[in-house]
Amino acid sequence: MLVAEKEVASIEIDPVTLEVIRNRLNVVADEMESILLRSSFSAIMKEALDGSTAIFDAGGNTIAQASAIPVHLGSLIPAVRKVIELFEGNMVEGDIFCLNDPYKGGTHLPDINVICPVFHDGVPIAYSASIAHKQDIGGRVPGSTPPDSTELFAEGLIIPPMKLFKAGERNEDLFEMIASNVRVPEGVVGDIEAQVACCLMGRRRILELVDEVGHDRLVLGFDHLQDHAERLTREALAKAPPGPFEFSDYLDDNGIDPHTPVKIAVKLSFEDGTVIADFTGTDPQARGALNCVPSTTLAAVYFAIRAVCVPQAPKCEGVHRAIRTIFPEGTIVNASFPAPVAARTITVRRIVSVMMGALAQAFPGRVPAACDGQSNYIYVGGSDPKVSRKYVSMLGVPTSGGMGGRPGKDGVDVISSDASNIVRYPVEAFEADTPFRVKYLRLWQDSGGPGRYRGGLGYHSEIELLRGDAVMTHRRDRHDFAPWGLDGGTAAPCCRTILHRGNGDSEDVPSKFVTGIAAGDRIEIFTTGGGGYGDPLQRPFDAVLADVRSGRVSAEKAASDYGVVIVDGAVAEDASRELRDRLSRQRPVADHRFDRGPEYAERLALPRYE
Amino acid sequence: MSITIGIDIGGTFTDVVSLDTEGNVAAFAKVASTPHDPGAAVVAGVDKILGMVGKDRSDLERVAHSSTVSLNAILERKGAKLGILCTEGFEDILVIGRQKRTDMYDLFLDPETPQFLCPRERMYGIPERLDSSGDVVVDLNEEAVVDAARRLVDCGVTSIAICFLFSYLAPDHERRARDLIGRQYPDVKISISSEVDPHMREYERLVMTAFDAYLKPVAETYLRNLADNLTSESSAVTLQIMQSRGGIVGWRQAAERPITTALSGPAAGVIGAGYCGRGAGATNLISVDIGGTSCDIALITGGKPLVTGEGKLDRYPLRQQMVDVSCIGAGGGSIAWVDQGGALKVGPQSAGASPGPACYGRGGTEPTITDASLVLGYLDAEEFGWGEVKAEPERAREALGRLGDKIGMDVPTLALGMHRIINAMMADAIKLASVDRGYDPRKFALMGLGGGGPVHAAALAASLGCRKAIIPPLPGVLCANGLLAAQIEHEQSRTFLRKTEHIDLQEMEREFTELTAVCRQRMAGDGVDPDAARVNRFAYIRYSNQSYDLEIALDGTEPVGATTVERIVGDFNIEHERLYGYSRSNQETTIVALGVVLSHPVSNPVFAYSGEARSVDEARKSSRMALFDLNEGYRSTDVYDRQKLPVAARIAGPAILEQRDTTTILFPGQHLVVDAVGNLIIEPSVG
Repeated sequence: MLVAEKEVASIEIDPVTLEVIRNRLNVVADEMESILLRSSFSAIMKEALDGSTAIFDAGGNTIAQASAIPVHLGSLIPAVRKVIELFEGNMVEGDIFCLNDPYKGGTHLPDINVICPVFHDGVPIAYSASIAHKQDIGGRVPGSTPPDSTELFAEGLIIPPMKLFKAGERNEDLFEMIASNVRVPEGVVGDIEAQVACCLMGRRRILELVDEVGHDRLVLGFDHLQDHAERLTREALAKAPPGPFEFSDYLDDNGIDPHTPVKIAVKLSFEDGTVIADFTGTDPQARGALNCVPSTTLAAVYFAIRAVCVPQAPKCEGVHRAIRTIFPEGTIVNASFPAPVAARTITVRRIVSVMMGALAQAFPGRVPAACDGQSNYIYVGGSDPKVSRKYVSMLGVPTSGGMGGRPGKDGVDVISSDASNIVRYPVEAFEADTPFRVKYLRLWQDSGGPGRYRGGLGYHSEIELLRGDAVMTHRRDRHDFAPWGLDGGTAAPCCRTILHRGNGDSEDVPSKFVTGIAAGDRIEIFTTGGGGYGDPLQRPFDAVLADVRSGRVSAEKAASDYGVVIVDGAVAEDASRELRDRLSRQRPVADHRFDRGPEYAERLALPRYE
Repeated sequence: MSITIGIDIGGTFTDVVSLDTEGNVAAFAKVASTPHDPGAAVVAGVDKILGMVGKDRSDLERVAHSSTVSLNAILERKGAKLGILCTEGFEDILVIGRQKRTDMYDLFLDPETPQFLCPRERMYGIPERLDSSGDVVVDLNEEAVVDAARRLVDCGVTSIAICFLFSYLAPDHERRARDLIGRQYPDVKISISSEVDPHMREYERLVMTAFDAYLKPVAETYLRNLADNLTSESSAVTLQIMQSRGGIVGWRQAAERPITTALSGPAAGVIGAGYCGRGAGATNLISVDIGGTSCDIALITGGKPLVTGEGKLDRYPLRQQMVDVSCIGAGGGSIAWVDQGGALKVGPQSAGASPGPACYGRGGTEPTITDASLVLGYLDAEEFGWGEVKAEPERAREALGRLGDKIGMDVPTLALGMHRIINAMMADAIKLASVDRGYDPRKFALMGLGGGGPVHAAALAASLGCRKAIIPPLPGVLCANGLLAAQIEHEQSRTFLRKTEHIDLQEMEREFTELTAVCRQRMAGDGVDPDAARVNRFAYIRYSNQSYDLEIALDGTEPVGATTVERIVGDFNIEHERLYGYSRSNQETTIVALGVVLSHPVSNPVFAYSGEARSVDEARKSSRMALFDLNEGYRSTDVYDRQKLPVAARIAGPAILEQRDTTTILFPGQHLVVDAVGNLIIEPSVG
């Protein structure tokens, strides 16, 4: 590598060529993503678009990434680096690697990474890579993301970095091995093939770029692009006061034992255009599958800083150079092998909300109140007696609730926020694919946290199993800890799920839960909205009236939360002013930066799992 | 004598082209657009051109028009006061949408769904339910329908969209609801999803249906008034409207299904490009229309524009057949700037028409592509945009100078660099638009359109390796030509959802027959004998677990037979391989939908061309210094009056060819010839 560096030092690159290279790389990443999503087989890919593509330089630094889903941001980095570490000097043109081992570059087992070195003159000059979530990767439970495993081995097939193609030759053994270990082999193999197709397309495009601008100039261009992204990031970070800014938030439990809060804490310090995100104070790794390996935690940290500070920065490694992280080993943000990790998506959401809470203090007025903060991945698997077909599927309801209220704007109702960005599974597709029926799917009234700018609403839905038996993996969060309100805004309510058995029994289930269900059982889901931003008593009468008219806020809550009295469909202004006076006098004068909801103190006092 | 007119409304000008009885182009005119009352410009344009050819309204036989009224109603949020009826329990589908956001890092984004169409309080749930086989689970509650309609009408609703779950499998409930409301409230416009977009996925179907209903009263008023205004006492004129997929239909049918004409204008442009391409002997064409702020790219293969079923309108999903136009924010007004990290960028911000490029002297201070073109000598300061603007080159140089100082580049280097960046951006976008759809741009000719297309076409064609670049005689007015060249077309498709191994051939034939009958009826409504129309059948097919399907054309009208399905699957595998680089012939496949298109040609306009100059030299008007390559520096370059060039004229680059609305740049080492109909055919290979 030293030789190469010496060579490139003697050539130059102008700003015009650099910009041409930058645009091209982004187009290539987008083109790869388009191939990946459009030619995939499984529902999670085709309907939920849960996959990403990226291009790396020879050193394993991201140079461009297509933007499908934020939780993948940076997730490919350790995978590519691991491949380089293990195979450098032992890879040839036509090799394509794959892996999913979280402790060897992966994230969690359903995410399979496919990585293709791009050779020029016999040496790898770049890598085209993709990561895509598989519907199933084997293990105990259909969907392979149970929250209650206690070690990695129960979560499915572990693929260490291996050659999927050797010098252009398909490694049939490995394909066969994968197909034999998963519940839906065609879907999984089909999706891997889509990943291979997209990586090959990336390779072709990068080689075209080499022809166009020359090998040395392109490599030099890669370095310049990184420097540029770093400069942009430092510029933005330099605007923050030094801090430190601390914030913490909780997961409902460890994935197995209900109501055992797990703390995630961060301290942000800014210096010379860099930021240190220190997670010291975070609880030890969880007994259940909520653990993150560093690549996962990094993705959450990168997302939050990018969204608040440098949304327009290129998606490359240079941005990350301005960010330093401390992830104490053995904690939920940096778990030790073989801790289970399958359901870590929930933890990612919470890491983002912790980062947002800290950033809200460093960059006031630029951060919304908390969003719903959970990902409602409820998997069902079983056999449909009517068509004698096995299925594994997500429930056909939104995974997301509402967005937090924002300085100047209400939150958006039912939308993927922060690190999640997947597409809702259409009711018609879900019912055609499975023996379930969605009874209703509506906005959940009063689920948006009250504020000068109200939180977006979550939803209320009920789903019935019509035929046969099924296993349901219920995994989400925010059943115990509400999305916080900001700068005077109020928290949104907690999420809730009620399981109605065919025999008439009903139970409130905790946020992580695996159970068998039978025909006639119904799952009633309340998914919360976002927290409110700013004082709800300052919300204009008109806005409250519009909310009542549209049914987003009930007349009772209009009075109790907003101090607005509605009589015969109109605001009683005098009565409202009086009520607002009274409410504001009754209100405790406290540090009102974050409102955690009425249950917070009680929930905090819950015993931790030892 | 009968006259045919094509009329296209643009942002600034409304273009009119007329044909005489023999189909020869008789005249061409431009009138100022009237955005607040677009019909006024149409009528003015028609009258103007009638005057030019010495005719009056009674001579009018046919007017083909690309209506902007639907699109504008959406962009300006000026559609009908709308109510929506949904299956009870699913009243919030329009609000919830698909929950995904387009920009992941925008914490201040607005809702991603078109909630402006109908507030939540005007969405009613109706007790009724079908299952995923189309069987009735809960029968339609007719009282609830009537009650909801009454409440909606009471609060002033003039249009109602009805979208029930699974109605694409069994439209009975939607039809009954429509008939009930129609009987009670005959003036209320109604759109039902099983007719507007009979396909799976409730949100996308609802969006289509709601848009359709939202547009109905507006479109009908506009089209009816226009038809009335154009019709004289002595004759009835046939008014036809361009649909988004590139065919024309009679105005009444357009008014009944207004969503199908939402992208009328862009479709007309692409049809026009295809028509011009045929004239130049090119059936595989990439049309690149470069305006002030954006660049529209479309592909024409085998003489037909590429059509997509998954487009967007404004920022919302629009699941209908439409000409596949990709758009990027790059045009003459695109501004060059340096970001905080010190990188040189071009666009997407544009100086637009106001303040416009720095050289306009209207307050713009930032350097645009047009300023760079002026500095490079590509454009003439004296003749700008129909001679209405006098450019000030000094201001352009100053603007570039200020930016150049920031990054240590002199003005000419920066100007060339800006061109290189924007050309690369457009070339990247063209690659994405072609390769992504499985086409190799090197096998295409590139057609430069709009005010900016001819400036960049030769450079783009060279960098993409296109076989040739084509500059039509009037690159700015192709839409009006397209309207005259378009066929009458009716399209209908329907969800089928059968695994190919279990297809009942008779059922499939029956579906096709029904779809054909719908199209035949509409064809007859346009006064065309359905038997004279050409029938094309399509199957939309995918591997069973995939979510995106491909369109496969069937052989003509031949009834479905034993080998039909096998052929469809075979063609599908080939197409999949072409698009995605792999296919799996042993994989189970599903035919998701069937479609029928009936088409009937109307006229084939003939454009005659004769440049008045007898030789190339005679068409040369001057020369000026222009810069193409930094190493060679500014060099004296011949400037031609493009419209005077004789047929078969051959010019070696570098050269600049000027005409009233645009300038064509021919780079050193390139050649062009003028073909028999006046197209400039550029051989792009440099050196």
